[in-house]
Order: sequence, then C-alpha cells, then structure tokens
Amino acid sequence: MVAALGNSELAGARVAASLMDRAQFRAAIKESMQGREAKDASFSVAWANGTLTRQQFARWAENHYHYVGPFADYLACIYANAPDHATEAKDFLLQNMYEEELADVRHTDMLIRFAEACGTTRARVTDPRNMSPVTRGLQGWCYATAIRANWVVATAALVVGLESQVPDIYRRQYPPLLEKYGFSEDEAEFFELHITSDEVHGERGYEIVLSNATTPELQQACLEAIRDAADMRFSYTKALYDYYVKDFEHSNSEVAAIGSV
Amino acid sequence: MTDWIKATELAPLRLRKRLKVIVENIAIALFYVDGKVFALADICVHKGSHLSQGLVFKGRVVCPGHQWAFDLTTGWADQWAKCQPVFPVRVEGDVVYVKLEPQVRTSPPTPAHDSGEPG
Repeated sequence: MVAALGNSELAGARVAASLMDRAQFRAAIKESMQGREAKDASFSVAWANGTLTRQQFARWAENHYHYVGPFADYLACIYANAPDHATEAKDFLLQNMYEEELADVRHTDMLIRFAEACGTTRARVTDPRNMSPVTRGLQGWCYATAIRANWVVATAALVVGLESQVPDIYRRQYPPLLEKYGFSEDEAEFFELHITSDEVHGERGYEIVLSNATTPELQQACLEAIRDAADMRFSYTKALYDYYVKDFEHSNSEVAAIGSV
Repeated sequence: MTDWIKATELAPLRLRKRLKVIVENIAIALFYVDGKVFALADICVHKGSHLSQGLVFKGRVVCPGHQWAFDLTTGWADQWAKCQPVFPVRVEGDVVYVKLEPQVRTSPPTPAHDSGEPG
C-alpha cells in the first residue's frame, strides 16, 4: 500500500518493465548517485587537499547550518505525510529526528562549536542572511520536497539522496581537519559524529525506501528524486567554492556587509 | 568463574524493551528484541554515553552520543572496529540473570556469532 500516486513526480517518472527486488533496487539507487557525489565537488576537493582557510570554513559553517539545521523539520513533514499503518517507517523517521536533536548534544550545537573555532559566532551562523542564494535554494528544495512529494519519494530524496552521502564525504574530510588544518578532536566532533550517525540514518532511509516503494512507478520516482538530491547537494557544495574560494574578494565584501563577527 | 546473578524481572524489560540495571555496582544495559535478551555494558566505550538510552536498529544498539552501532550479540561496532563489553545472559522463568564476565572482542566476529549468546 502506498500513498496516492497523483503527485507530479510520479506522473513524470519513467516506468520500469517490472518491479525490482530489494537487491536490484538498492543497486539502482547506488548507480543513480554515481557521478554526482558531493565528495567530488570543488569545495570538497579543496577541503581534502588542505587548501582552505579557517575563514572559508566559517563561511561553510554559516551555510551548512541552514541546510542541516531544519533537517528535523523536513523529516517531521515526511512523518506527517506517512500513513499511520507505516509504523516502522514512521519510527525510523522519528529515531533520526531524536538522534539529531535530543539524544545527546544537539548536532547543530556541534556545528556551531566548529564554526566558533573558525572565528565566526553563533549569531552569524544562525542568521539566514549569511547563506548564499544556492544554499537558500537547497533549503527551499528540501522543504518543498518534504512537504509536497510522496512520503517515500521524499525519504528517498532527503535521507538517501542527501544524508546517506555524508559518511563518504566526512571520511575524506575529517582527517585533514586534524592533520592539516590543526583543529582539535573536540572542535571537529561534528564531522567524526556524522561519519557514524549518517551511516545509521542513511541505512534507515534505505530501509524505508526499499520496503515502501512497492510499484515500478514509485521506484522510478525514488530514483529520480535521489538523482535530483545528489545534484542539489553537488551544486550546493560547488557553489561554496565559487562564492568563498574562487571569488574570495567577493565573499569578503559580502561578509563585511552583513552582520558583525 | 562468577555465578549467575539476578539482574531484573523479565516483565519490565519486555514492556520497555531496554532497561538499565546495576549489578554489583556495574551498570548494564539490557535489551529485549524479538523475544531475546541481550546485555551490554551501559557506558559506551567511545565517549561514555549511556547505551540504555540508545535505539535498536537491525540487531545493533545505536549509542545516543555519536550513533556508534554495537552488535547486540557481540558488542562489535563495524564502523570503528571497537567492541562494547557484552555479558552472558540467560532467562529462567520470569527472571533475567547475568554473569559478570564481560567479553570484549579485539577482532571482527565471524559471520556466525560465537559469543555472548542472548538469553
């Protein structure tokens, strides 16, 4: 049983010849993200290569907060759209929200701790005027997908397409934070945490999608949503490079114009 | 060789699915999953959070602190190749017993788990 198929993302989806089994569908999901992973975007590459400055990390944190800060909001919208008989899926969504916000230190507080180590402030990080237009677009897309898409498709997009990429990104980016950039383990706790937490969170997302995309149309819609999500995250990460690394002068003038450090 | 020691009645564990008990000053997190009982040290080997406040997902308890996921049977966390101590546990009637002989792996378990049999 799935939600009504009247959503636009389902209407436009390519229809597979037949329903994929779990193994085939999982492989198709992996394939749909290939070539679009944010770990390969220019800002990620510069990060891993050790060429960024603390000032650029501060700009990253001021953007990243507005993408990940509302993640529980996104999941709450999906939770509300999921039918009440999808108990296990709803529990998985709730578990992800709990771990993001309440289980121990709030994840965004760890992000802000890192931001402060980079020389910016909680006030600047939480001020939405400090995100780039591309980040604003990513946040808006996340909200729109969570609210308007079929709940399984939305889970595919946000939890599988976006969140499940994180361990691969931070496995590459955490070591240079300590070894090349000189952050302490405490300051970089946000990244160590997410190597593990988003593996669990992403796996819960896979479980929801694999178990609840029960028609060829829904499976195809999920694959398209995952491709879109991967594209969104790649574009967001690339834009960070374009705004704050490639066009460094531009970023400095923007920073001076908005708020005070 | 220690004796089996009563940890709790089964009923509250069956109801809550997870329970922290103190047995001879040792904090143990008990889990009730699919009719089986598992016992792990409550204090996480990573940074000291309480596993008894964690969630169970796919046969692993997810630590609330940093979401390290420990296999309920072996205590092994694949992501970091670390092991949470597990305790032998058995259920007799309506009582859960543990043995205070913590088992800690130094290498990944074989596919057929061979220690820490659940009660």
